[in-house]
Amino acid sequence: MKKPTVGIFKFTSDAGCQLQILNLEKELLELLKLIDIAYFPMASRNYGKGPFDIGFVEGAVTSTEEIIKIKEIREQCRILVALGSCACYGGIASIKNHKPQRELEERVYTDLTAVHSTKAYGIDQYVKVDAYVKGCPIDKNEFVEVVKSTLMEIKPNLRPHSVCVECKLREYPCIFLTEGKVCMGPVTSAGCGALCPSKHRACEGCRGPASDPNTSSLARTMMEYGLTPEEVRLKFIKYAGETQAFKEGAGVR
Amino acid sequence: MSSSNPYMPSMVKIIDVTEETKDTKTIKLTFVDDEVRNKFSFKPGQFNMLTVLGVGEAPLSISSDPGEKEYFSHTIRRVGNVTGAITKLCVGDTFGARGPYGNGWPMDKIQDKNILIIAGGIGLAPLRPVIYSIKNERENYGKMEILYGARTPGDCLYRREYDEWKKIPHTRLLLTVDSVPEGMEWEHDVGVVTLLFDKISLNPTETAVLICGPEIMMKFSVQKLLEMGFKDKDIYLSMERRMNCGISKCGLCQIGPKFVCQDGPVFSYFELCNLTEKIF
Amino acid sequence: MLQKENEISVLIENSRLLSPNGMNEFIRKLSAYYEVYAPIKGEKLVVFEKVENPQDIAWDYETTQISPKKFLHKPFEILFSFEDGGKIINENKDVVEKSQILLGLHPCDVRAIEILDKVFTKRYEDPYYMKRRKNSIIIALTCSDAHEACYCTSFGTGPRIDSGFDLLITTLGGNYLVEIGSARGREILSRYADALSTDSSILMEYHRLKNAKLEIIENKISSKMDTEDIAELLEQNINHPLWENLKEECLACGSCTIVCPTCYCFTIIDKVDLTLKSGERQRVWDSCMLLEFAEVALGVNFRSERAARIKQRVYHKLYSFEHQYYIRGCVGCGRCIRFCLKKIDPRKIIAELRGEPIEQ
Repeated sequence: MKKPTVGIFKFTSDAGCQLQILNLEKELLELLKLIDIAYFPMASRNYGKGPFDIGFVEGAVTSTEEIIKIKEIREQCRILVALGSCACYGGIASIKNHKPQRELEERVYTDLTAVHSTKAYGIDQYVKVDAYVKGCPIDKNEFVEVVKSTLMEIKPNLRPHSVCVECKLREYPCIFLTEGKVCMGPVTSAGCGALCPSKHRACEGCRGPASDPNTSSLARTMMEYGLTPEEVRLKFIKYAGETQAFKEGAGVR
Repeated sequence: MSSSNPYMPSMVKIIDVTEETKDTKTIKLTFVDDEVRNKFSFKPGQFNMLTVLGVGEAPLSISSDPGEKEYFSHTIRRVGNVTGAITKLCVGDTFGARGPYGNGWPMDKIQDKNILIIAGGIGLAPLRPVIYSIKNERENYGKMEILYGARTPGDCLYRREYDEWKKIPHTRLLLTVDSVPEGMEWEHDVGVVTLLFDKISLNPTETAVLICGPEIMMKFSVQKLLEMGFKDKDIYLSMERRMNCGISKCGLCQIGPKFVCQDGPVFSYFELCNLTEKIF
Repeated sequence: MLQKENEISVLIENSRLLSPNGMNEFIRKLSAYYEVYAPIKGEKLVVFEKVENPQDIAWDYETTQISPKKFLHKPFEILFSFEDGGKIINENKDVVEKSQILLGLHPCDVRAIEILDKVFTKRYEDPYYMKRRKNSIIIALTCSDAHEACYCTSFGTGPRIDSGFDLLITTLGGNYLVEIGSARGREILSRYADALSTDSSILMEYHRLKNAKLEIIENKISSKMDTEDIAELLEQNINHPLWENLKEECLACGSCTIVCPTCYCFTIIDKVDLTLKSGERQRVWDSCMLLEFAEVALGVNFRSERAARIKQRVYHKLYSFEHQYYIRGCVGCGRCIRFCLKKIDPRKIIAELRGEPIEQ
């Protein structure tokens, strides 16, 4: 049987998620027995042509050219997967959505004639997405899970609950409670294995909203811990400020 | 540990597959192991945990005649990972099963009563063994009326058996569908299943009602039955909940203090009303 | 009088006194034959871990984030492995063969294990839990203090305990009073420990000290949950406005259930390797506080409302357990309060349902 073909595409991002795929090293060779990575500019100069069975898209969509391009890719891919928080939610780039476009452009570019940027959104703003691999960067094991389940034609087992569950299961001390470090873990989707809390660092919310996140309640607690409303807002808009849940958290005064 | 480990599935082999609708199949199965096959028997309304290794496990009602000893059937609608994987299999393929679990319909308690069966969609599957049981021991039960509703004529399960069911003495079969696609023939009712209730001829005080279907359909059915004078203790519902073990360990299937997998899946409406968790 | 003398002689007969060195030596010897787990002081928290050095044991610990239930009902566990998409090759490679000693369990955690025993044996025995349970020796530890979140006295689950353990240790004035709770406890104690004293008057003095210590702790546990007729109270308050108010506060993060010593719910998942045909069936702790807990195929969710999930947790502990196992599902350990960012407190929930004034 012919191996399914895979294309890996980059939009506005720092390519960290693609790098995670290469970081798989050992498993990558095993994975290549199952799939044929036909298009992956970061890894190969053989630019294979579509259609593809699975397309992984990294990065946010933030220009008219990208809007056209993502629609083309969607047409070429049977299954389209958003790879990383930029593709899922707009990611870091979406911070700019909260400031007037022109003001930002003037700050960055000297010649504004060549700039036609739009607001930074996740790819599902423009196209239908079949699966989401969250994180900044993605967790490489979750990427493998999504590939496996796609090949088996089943729903991947990615639990969408809070980071707290993973943090507690691994017995990391709650840094919010023990150190007073304001943490996005209670409203952020798990799957990272509570990576930041394991290093005594607060969760930054890079994986976007957990299932049923109570962002306004967390925002109130953050303020009780001494954050100003503006500081709370910045926490919620860092990666997924365009999602309804994090918008709510950002709006608490 | 194998024989005493309740989490271990046994292998079953597919001996027949019947396409029921575009997304539903009835799969006839037999245990590969002689000992397991000989030991296995079930009551109407019980379920098995079906396993496709690598994909997972799911609870599914047994839909065949409990009098049949050599095989059993599941009617499976493709809705999730496990049901999706099983409906892809063919005759001769094997997968895993363990069970039967659950209390099943209260066949002893409802003897000598009239039986009103109300089913919606795939909800007819756990009630088919009831129809067989009553057919097998016709003299033990009163009159039987079967009310069945599906989305379209093409979504009706067990169509090939309706004539046979109607021939069971003192039995009526009433059918309805939500809608009939253009060009399709349909000589029965159109509308939700509760529209058939006016045609019920059974005396509310001497009848046991067995219901299975989507919660919304069960809710409206119960409401109307109570208005018609049926008693909450005589109305039985088969409940669906998330289940991972079937043996009251995983805790997922609880409704108030009841484990649907062991205390259920069949409860009287009286029991359900008095729980600390509302069903609908 | 005779009966009392008899009781005293049994008490003395079942007691030993160990010096600090004697205790360390005892644990060192046990470690040679058993996996010994005890509360160990970490950087921020005390955690139940394998004892590397008896001196690391936090004898005066308050509580742990995860209870010792993790040694019996593991957070992650492989039920069996399979090959080629059909052949089950290994049923239980995760289950320990070597006996384990769970040392330093406070009374509440001992009682919690008794509750889990009921869950995992009723109707069907869970072979994974039971194998570990049978291979586990429980050495309980009298609490050294009470915390604001402790309310064991409301359930009679502490700080006094007279069963459910193989040995019970009480630290007193630098020494260790060890009481025997089972034949197995007696055996390991007589085999591996050198008692400092078996003198009855000395032992009696230590028992007096222990009692005094327990009284101090009991008096300190001032915050209680009124459990009288709690079933009726809960039956009558399914629609109390409190549930909707809690919904606004609760983060539904699941922490309270993961840290609870009697929570046991789990999800079973299959995990395949890159052959897509071989893999493992695993179980992982689940939580009724999470949205996806009650979700079935096609996205139907029987507890999509956060308030319904909060209610499920409270009702399961304080109502359903009694119907299911004739025992209350809460031991008053206070973990769900300590580790809740919002400080949602079952004591306050019950008080509010009773219409009692809430002190903040």
